[in-house]
Amino acid sequence: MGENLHDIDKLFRDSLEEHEEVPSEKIWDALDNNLDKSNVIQIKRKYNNLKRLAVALLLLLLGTIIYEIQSKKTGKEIVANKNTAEKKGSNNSANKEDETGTSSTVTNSNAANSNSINNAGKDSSNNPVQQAAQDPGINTTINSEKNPSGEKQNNATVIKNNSDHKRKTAAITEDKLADNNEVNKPQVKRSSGHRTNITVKKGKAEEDLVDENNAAVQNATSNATDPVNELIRFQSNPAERINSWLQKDNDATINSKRVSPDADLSGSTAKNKSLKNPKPFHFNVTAFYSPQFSFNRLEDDHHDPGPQQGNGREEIKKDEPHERSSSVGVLVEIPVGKKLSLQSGVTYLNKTISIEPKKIYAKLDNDGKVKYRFDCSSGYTYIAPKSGTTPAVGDSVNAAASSNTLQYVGVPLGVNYTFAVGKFNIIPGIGTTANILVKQKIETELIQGSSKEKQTINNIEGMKPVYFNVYTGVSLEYNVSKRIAVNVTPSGNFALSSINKNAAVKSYPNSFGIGAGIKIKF
Amino acid sequence: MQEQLNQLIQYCIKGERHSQSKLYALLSPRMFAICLRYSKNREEAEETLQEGFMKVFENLQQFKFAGSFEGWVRKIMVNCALQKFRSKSHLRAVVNIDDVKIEYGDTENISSQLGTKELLQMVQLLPAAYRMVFNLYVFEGMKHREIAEALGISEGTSKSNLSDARAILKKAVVNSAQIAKQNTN
Repeated sequence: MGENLHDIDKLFRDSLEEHEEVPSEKIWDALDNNLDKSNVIQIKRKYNNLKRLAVALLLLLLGTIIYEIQSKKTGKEIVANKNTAEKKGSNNSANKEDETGTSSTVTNSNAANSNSINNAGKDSSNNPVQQAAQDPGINTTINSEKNPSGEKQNNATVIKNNSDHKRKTAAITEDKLADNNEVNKPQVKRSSGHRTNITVKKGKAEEDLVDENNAAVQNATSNATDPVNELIRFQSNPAERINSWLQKDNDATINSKRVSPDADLSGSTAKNKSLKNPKPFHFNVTAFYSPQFSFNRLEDDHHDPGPQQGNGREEIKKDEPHERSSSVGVLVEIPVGKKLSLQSGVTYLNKTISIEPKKIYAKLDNDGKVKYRFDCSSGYTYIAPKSGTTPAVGDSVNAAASSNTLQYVGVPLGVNYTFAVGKFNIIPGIGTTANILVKQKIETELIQGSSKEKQTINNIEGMKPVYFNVYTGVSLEYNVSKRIAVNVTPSGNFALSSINKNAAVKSYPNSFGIGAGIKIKF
Repeated sequence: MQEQLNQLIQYCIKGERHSQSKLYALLSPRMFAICLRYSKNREEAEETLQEGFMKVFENLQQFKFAGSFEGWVRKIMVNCALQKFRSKSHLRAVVNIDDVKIEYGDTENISSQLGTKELLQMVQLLPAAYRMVFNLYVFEGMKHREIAEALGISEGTSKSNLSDARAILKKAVVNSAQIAKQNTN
């Protein structure tokens, strides 16, 4: 017996090491149920990942739509400008005196000039100059460039007189030339007096041009731009040059007014106005306040249970039944289409989580000192009693009702779509917010016997400096005046990432709120 | 045998409930005995066993098929027991060692007189902190430094707890042996 007692370890090891005992059947039944729940959770996790992917794709899609809308809008402006140019083309004509003494008549300003130049050698079967006269405008030029026949263009020699009296000559040649194109070599000369004279060199088409178009052209390009280079660039890439040509066309209209006061400029004036103010407003600013109903989605932090492992998910969930949060902020909205707008700004979120009274235990902290460990959904902290003896590992103390306060500054980025209904707007929106942690605090009261000790901790272990969430909502807006609107916005915020890591649980804050705001349009 | 076990594990990873049931039936008696040693009663041991097997099934894909599968499962069970110990109240036991008087009896083999269940009950009746240290030292073969890290205590506390646990168990064994001897007579 003495031998056995001297080696008590061996006695127990030998007896219990190989011991087996069958557990009750209810254990497997419970496991069976829990495995079903676990499968559901795994599916939910996969679903969450899919949701994140869907949000990313949605944002990408919205970006693409915005880009497309912008592109189409630019195209519409071009067409509108072209139409205006055509109207002007029929109204504006000016006499132009040829330096060579030949009086030629060309309809309209630069656009028409280029048109006639381009069309001069375009089609061997038709009179190119006639076509130029009948169909002046940018579109004609573009069509001629796109003509699949390839039997077009151009042997145009453009001569320009600069103010320093130097001359530059540019020749634009294509491989295929129609036979009669060779004789059509329009010549553009620009004098130092800011006038451009267009001379169609003698050829078959020239005489027709002179005969049929008995009008002079006021140089619309005023003086700064080199028409020779522009013509070359235009021919190489007409689409890119359209806007600059149209702008010059506007100038031409203005100049032609000096020459021909009777010209109808109403269309041009309207167009200029519309170009100056293409959007009803450039941006708007919304100030808002939103009380929120918050709830945390808690997940076990899947680390091997170590010495720092704290309370479990269920325990923390039970201890933190109530949350209060509210946010204020200023949002800037920039329209990117008739109905679409981008939204960003700054928000400030204040959240207070109430924690029920609970017992906390002394453990070794990260510095090896024994302190009471306080776990909550945000993270954990170690509390050293201000008075009394230092606790030993395993000692416990009661923590009275506590609170955990978190404050974040958020930078949202989202997309809004506006449905206008009379004075009301319905504006659904979606976006994501980067939330930057600016304040973290736990307030509690340790109760040891009859003594109470208030504790405030401003550093919670495990908190991430930034977390991201996706927000969505529908703003109901009433336009008080042209510039001011008020709105009410029910919204939802769902965390994409946890607010903490390496803590007892991972916490994903979600919330629903109703915001009230005032919008000022600029 | 090993191949069959590996195949069973693979099926469990795929989530086949029948295979999970078979794996549970294969390992649960041994694991339940371990849980009983770390718990103060049968109910607590069953809770630990349930949590442990949930973790086993949830993390089965992390098993590398390199070492002993039973050893891997056993480690999870022990970790679950430690986690439960840390999360619950476990105030330090106050034991006056002077009160524990060891009485050496005859040279009879005590283990033959005491049943396994009796010895198991003695371990279960130890204060939680002592029980943990005793189990980790005697059955898991851990050093005091490792035990201290696992339980969040100092090395000295671990040694002290082990010494106290041994003293209590020795007294319990002697008492039980004497009672058994008296009954025999």
